Amino acid sequence: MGDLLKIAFRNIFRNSRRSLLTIIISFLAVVVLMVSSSFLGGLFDGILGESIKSTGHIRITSADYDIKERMMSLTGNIPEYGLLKERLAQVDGVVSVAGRIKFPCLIFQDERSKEGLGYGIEPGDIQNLNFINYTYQGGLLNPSGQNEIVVGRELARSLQLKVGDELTLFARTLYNSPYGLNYRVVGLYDMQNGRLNKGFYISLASAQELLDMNDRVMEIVIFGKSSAETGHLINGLGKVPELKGLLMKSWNQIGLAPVFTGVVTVISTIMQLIFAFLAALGIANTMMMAVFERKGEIGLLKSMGMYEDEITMLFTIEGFMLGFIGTVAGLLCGGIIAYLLSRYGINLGGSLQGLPLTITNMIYGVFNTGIFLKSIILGLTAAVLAALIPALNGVRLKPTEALRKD
Amino acid sequence: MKRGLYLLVLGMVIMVMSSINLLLASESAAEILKKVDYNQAPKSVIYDVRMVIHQKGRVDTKQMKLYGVGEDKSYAIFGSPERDKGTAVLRLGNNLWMYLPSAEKTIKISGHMLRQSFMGSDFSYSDSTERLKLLERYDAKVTGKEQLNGREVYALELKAQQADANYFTRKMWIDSEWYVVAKQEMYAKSGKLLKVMTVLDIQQIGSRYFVAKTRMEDKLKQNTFTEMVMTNIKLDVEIPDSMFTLQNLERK
Repeated sequence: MGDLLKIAFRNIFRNSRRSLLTIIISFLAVVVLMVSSSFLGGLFDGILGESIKSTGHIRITSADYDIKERMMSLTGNIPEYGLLKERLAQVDGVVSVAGRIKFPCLIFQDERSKEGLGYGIEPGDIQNLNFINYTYQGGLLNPSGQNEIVVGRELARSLQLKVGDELTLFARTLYNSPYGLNYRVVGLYDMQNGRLNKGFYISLASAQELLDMNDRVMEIVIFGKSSAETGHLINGLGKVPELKGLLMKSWNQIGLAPVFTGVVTVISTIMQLIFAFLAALGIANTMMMAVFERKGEIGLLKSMGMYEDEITMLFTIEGFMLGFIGTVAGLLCGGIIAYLLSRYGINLGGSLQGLPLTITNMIYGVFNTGIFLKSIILGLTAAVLAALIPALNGVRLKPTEALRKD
Repeated sequence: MKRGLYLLVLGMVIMVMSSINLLLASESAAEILKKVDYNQAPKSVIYDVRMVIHQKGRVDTKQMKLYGVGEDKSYAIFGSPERDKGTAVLRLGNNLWMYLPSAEKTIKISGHMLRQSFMGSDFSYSDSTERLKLLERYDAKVTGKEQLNGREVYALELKAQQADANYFTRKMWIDSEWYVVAKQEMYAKSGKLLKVMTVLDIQQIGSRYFVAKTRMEDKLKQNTFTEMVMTNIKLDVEIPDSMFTLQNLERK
């Protein structure tokens, strides 16, 4: 085996240009694999993370909420929320329960006005929605602050709002009557999301007053310990009789995020296999040429008593070595890029905002052993398989034929 | 041969009679609308309004006082319920302002919003705050005479002269004695039925017959209707111009 390794290693340098080209192909394929895995992983985490943030692990709504939501109607609401919340909080595995109201309204500030989408949220939701990280000016919504508002960056820009300003929200109530309340801006946030940045948040109690929705909410979001325990949560909540007639959906059943990530996973897997195939093709081409060049040598080795398996092994080791060098270099380079992507992220500048998904502008890549393992396995498997096929083809020749052909 | 000739003459007579009838009917439509306008669009109006809004089993009652001059100069202020108390509306032409006491702020409502629900009712802001002279805005034709709730009514079809009218076409049934709209259907330009209004009570005030109770159904909503009851109706009274100002609207 030691001799085979030595010969295979020396063979690499017999046509160094061709070997270098093979290494580069392998290198590029692994770099692309690593970076795309890191980016797509980050994109998925971003989409699903944002999705869970906005839906909780479980979301409870009225049965016709999906239709009403599109029509921006407040009629698809859940009454007697206070009692229901108490009951839901007792279910095993429930970490937090939060009622929310999403509503359209007109926002007036001095002579300016703008249509906007507002959210009434509970104090616990301030943490769920990660306001601490997103607030760039002022503070958080005060749980008891009945007339306080935090405003998204885009909305603040268009109405030239700053912390301390007063504005008026003019909305249609549940009973379609116009009503208005004044609010003081206590904070500005940037959720790295164009849609959310055009909106604002007020306390749930204030939204209920504005919209004449006493003890009513549009949706209840429930957070468990982790998304892995969603099934357990569903089982527990399924036993709550008060939820009869309401619609309960888990985070992966809501919106287009799961469909989108599923489709992109299939597409990205196909793309990654194509890159692995191209790398394999490069290595196979090199090895095929090597086998053809060395037919006489193969015949000589066979006539001297070398087994076919050993000759196959020789070429396979050579191909593996080329693939290995390319893969290691690719892992290093791809690893650095993936690390930088995970550390500093990439700003897509709202290019994904047209999609019906909640997603931040900044995408941070994933940097974990998974993407290394995937790249190593794909890179090396492609190299070995690519070397094996021409090697098997070459050793089938009889020594006399091989010597004559040479 | 003779029989054929008789039939031909008879046919021609029927055609001529129909044409004359149509001509007369066209003149009648204008005459009818002129009389309707006299009743429905006095120089000025003041009345108390009780709006009873029926929405999917829930009943809300709102009360306001309305002052109006001409077709579209109106001021209305709500007295109840408590949540709407002090809410006031000023309509001047195509402009509408709303004073919200809860925010102590006046908000201007843009043109297209005039077609939206007025305080949650089946009436729009336009329906509630204007008294259009139909003759000046619609081309009309009489389609026949019918019976409605035991009274004889003219059936009319109206088509707006302006494409941006709130209701492009209307079908009206007008009481042939009092010249008041007894019922009307309002349609969009597409032909979609938007609203149905039924008059439930008519009062004679001076020389005019005025609608005192009406029911409106917004056909774009389900299971809703609104009844509007007008009381203490005063027509053609002097109302100072200061009533129709933003200063008055914001007066606490």
